[in-house]
Amino acid sequence: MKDELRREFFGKGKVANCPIYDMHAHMGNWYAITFPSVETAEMIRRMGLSNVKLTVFCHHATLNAPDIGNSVNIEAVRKYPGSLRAYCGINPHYPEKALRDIEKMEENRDVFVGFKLLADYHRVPISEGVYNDAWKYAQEKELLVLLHTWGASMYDGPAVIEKVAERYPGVRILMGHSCHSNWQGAIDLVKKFPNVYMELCAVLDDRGVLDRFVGETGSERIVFGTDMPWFSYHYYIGSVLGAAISDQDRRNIFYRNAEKLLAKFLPETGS
Amino acid sequence: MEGIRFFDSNVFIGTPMIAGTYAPAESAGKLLETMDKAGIEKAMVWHVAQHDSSPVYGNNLLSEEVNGRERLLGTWTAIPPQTGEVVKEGFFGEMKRNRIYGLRMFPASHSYLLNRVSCGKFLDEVSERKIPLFLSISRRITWQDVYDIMAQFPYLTCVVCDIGSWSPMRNLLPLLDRYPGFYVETSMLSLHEGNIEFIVKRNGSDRILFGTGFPEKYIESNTLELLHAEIPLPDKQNIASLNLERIISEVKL
Repeated sequence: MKDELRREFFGKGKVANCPIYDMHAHMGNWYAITFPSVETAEMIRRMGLSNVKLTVFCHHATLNAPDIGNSVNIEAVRKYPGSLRAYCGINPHYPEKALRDIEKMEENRDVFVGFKLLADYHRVPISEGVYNDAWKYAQEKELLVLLHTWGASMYDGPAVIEKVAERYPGVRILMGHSCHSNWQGAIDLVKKFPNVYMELCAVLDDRGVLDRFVGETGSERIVFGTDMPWFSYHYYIGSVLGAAISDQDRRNIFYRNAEKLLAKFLPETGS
Repeated sequence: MEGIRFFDSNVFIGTPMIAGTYAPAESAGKLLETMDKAGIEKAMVWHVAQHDSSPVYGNNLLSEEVNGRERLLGTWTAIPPQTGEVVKEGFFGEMKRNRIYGLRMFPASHSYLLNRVSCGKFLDEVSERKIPLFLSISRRITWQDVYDIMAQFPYLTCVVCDIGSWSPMRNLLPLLDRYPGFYVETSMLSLHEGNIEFIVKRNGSDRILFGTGFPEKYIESNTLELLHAEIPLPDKQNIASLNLERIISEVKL
């Protein structure tokens, strides 16, 4: 039915047969912004308001506080296994810690679906250093890698993404923020590499970009993400509803594509 | 959208100098078509040429577009009055004649300093007339600018809009606490998880104005967020339209 999702989301705030998978989230406090929803329990509660079925995240502290590391991710997922999975955060400045975390991936299979690389902030290109140990592990195990990507970045812009996409074809690479501002760069990478996906966090507040992505690549390699606790579910859902795309495209973006990516980690998924 | 009427405080028409990813609303007629589809009753509109080209051209283009369209009110762009290009004898009367109920200023883009030296007498009169001044963070107003302006013109009705993609609560809340005429517009406030609820709980709903940022933003992002915000219906009604209606009713032209 045309505009079915629009009517239901506007009427109830969520749609029972349209779960949402948030493939790009964080958790906890962060140095530059005050977030009202930092507590894990509050985050879980807010997921329910939009029927967000699963959030895949990497805690801010993992990325910014090496002394805390990945322990907070493990703790949160084990507390809320029905709602959360995590990316193992890799800080390239501390390779020994990173290697230890990679070694423990097997024992944390119930927690992690892959890795999160925040190269623009850590200022090491995604193709260098200990990142390659994470890439090799992800290649061997066919894991996901969520990248922060930005258009002109020497650390995680299109040129360096192309290198790792070629080198590690078994990894499902999620381009967080879809090479923000270099939208054509993201489109070209998706067209060239079957293992590369666009992710919509920080994209959906620019009207017209999603319409262009779907127009040029279709909707089967686009996933939804919010940077939670940064950005609002309903704001982003509204953007997807406002784009000139079909409800089938919206369903692909909200959950179908994510369910395929996560199938091996969540064998029970299905809606 | 039962029980809620939307009055958009932040929308522009016209074709930008540099094409964006978005389809512009080239005319008031096109904007009204979009508003009808999205359930927006009224809008306070400006013309992008007021920023990209010159307020001299942009203000005239806007006046022509809103003329005779009851659902649209205008906001003109001002610059310091000394040059006589925009602000001159009879300026406020012209605003009234053209149904212009707000002003915008873009000091960085238009190459001037916005302060008491450049705009003292003019902004004193704007304050006295309770004309809302819209300042856009995404169009190069800094938070330092906003703090300076409010310190120098504490009775100004000031609306900070397009507040950016990094939530600025640490800059925003002190201004809301200090200045009763300071408002924040929602086009990017509502992007930030929980911010509307946080401000309503802390400061009430009287100084939040619904705005969409259309055509650069999707209208549905802001309407869906406000409709399902975890705040009481009267607060939603204040934000959606009543606060802006009150501001406009107090403007003296």
